[in-house]
Amino acid sequence: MSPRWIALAIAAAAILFLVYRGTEQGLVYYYTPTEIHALTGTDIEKRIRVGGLVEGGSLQRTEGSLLLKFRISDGAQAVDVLFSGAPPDLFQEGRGAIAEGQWKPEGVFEADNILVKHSEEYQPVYDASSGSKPPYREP
Amino acid sequence: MLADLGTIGLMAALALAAFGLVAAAIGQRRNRPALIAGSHRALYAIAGVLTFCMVALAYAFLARDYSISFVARHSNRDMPAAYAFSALWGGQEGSLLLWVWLQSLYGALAVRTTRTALPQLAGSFAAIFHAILLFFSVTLVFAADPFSRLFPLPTDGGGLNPLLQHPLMVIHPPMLYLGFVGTSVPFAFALAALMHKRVDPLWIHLSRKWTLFCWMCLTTGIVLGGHWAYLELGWGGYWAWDPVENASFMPWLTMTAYFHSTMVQERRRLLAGWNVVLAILSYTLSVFGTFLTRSGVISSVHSFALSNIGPFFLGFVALTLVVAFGLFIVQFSKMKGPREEQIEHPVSRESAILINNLFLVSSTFVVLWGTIFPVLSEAFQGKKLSVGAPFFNSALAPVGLALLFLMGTAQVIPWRKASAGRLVRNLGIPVLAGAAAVAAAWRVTQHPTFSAGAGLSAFVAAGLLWDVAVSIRARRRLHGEATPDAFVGVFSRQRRRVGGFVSHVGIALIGLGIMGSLFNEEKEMRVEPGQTVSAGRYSLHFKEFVRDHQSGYFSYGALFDVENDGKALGQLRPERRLYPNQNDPTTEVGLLKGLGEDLYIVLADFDREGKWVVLKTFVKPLVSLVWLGWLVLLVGSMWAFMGRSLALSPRPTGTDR
Repeated sequence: MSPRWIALAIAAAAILFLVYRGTEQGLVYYYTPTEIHALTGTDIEKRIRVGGLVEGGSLQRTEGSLLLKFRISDGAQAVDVLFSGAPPDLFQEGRGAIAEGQWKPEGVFEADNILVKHSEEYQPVYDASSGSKPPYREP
Repeated sequence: MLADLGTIGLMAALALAAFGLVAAAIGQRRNRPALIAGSHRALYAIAGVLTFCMVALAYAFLARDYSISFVARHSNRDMPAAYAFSALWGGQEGSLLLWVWLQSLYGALAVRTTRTALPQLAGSFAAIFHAILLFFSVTLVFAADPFSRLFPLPTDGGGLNPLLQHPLMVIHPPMLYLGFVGTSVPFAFALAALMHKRVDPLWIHLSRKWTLFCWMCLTTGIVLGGHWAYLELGWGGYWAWDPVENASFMPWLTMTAYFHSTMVQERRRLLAGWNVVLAILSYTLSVFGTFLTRSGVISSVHSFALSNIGPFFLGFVALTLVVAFGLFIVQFSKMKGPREEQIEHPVSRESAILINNLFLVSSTFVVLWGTIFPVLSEAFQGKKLSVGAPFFNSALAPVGLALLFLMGTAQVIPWRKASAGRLVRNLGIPVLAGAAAVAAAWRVTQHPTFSAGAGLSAFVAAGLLWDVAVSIRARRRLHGEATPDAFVGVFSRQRRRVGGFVSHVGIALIGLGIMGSLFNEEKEMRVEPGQTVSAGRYSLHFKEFVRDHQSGYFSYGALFDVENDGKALGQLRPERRLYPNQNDPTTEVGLLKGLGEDLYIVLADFDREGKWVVLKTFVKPLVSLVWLGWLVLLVGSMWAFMGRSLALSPRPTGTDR
């Protein structure tokens, strides 16, 4: 075997090893609330993501702490999510969100990270072609 | 009027590219120099026409011509002129025009400067650029015309995303594109060399400066993008392994491998085929990255609007790969030229560079895998998943350390074969310096990865100092020069060598800066006015809540007095801003930069009355080394850029240690 092939074989083995090693830690599967409720066995307590809409009226803040409680729904079913911390800028009731964390056997999703889909591209809230000046919005 | 001229210009570019392609192909095949010259002139004409289109679009932005849909969507009357201008590349169509324009400039200049040096390849070389330009101008004309009209005429435009209204965003995209598009030059050289079965390294010499130039631009574009993310996005980092970032990192890795392995070909006539493969990979990865981020196939925070250019790009990438590798398989074995030599000894510079290449290319595949795996998984398994930063970090950290080691070794060991005595002489001092740094870093941090990294960085830096010291001594002895003269002599005579060393120190600094993130401290707390909280060594006193309605946006800010050990360090005011026309608030971070560490604070949440805020604090050691390392890297590679190519320099090969 020529040194060229030995080098290539080593490189290939290295790639496989690195990918395998990374996969152990880096892959996070994504579920909808309906799929979460169907989870069994070893999938429980793995690091996963659950995504859907933040249910209107479900968001509760605890006075004096950073604890948030809300429900993420896919229209059919919903899961309770607990999160401690400041949610991202665009986190709101009625908007899409993804929570990352663990599904606990007692039926609560304990999230340590919340992701919100950014709008694909900057879009003005008014229609540019209508010719009206956009209203300033006081939040 | 202007818009019509712009569209006509794009169509003219399309027609010229089609003509040029046919003329160059026939001219090359039938050996008709007039046709080849015609195709060259067509290339210059395309560059001229597209320059006109760029100027026209820029003028439309500056003149606020909202009859052009692209201008109306991406700018408005309130924007300062500089941002109105940079809005040109703030969206799909305009940034594609920028890409094609740069492509035409690169093509025209590359053909112009090499037509006499490589007359046999001139036709094929031009044909490749015409083919590339033909594809992109078809895409522009049929799928993404930046000059398409808007009716009825709006009174004002939509404006540019406030996040993009930042000085760094004015220069980041053109830099990145100069890098991406520039990979087409070594690609075209490699392909032309394949077509003519030329294995001699003349094309390597001719493309060396092009390669280095585009690599410097790509590096700068990537670093500036990271710096922008750090300042503007407010999540406390500068690199997130987002698909868009990966898309720029992959060609960077293969380009880095490419210009290192071309040195082996220059010097030792080895790796000719490997260099061709790297040139092909770099260009296709550049285009593929653009496809990934613009087609909406992969969701990313940077995504451009969903558009219909995806299939065009995927088709182009597939075609390029098939044609290029098809040519490679058919032609390479038939290539004639000086017979390939073999690597004589495993401990030699060429073998170290080859291993470094394998690591760089492996990293590219790891990044590619992590980037497209979610798409593959959803397509084939029906399972949605994400590949996060831990995947990339854990897979690439050991490779990064190994690369530092190889970098420090390859720069000081000789070509062909390193004798034991030579190894000890060249590596002894750097290894000792590295060991000392490991011990010092271990004492302070007790962190194994960081200590190893610090040691390797010191190893690389000591390699530079030691080499310069040895060269100065040699010059003093040989030429009887005084130390300062010898110092200048070393730096000015061996530009490529010293420039390479300095660049390696820059990389080592960047590596150290990245490893500083192992010690990031992150905290989140609720603070009320008058309270004092601590973050690392700093204490933060919440002075007042500030609301502001100036300059076109609402801002909510929290004013903090920052102290360290009772010493006042100034005030920080992290803000949330709400722009009119926009749903999403933007973050303005409070940042106290230091050489040792940055204090970075973000207003994560707040009560509109100002009764409380949620503050996110980050203490980030060594971040500034990333930006500093980039400057060192840039200086080093510019110095190397000014050095001469081996074939064109009178010095015989083999005198360089």
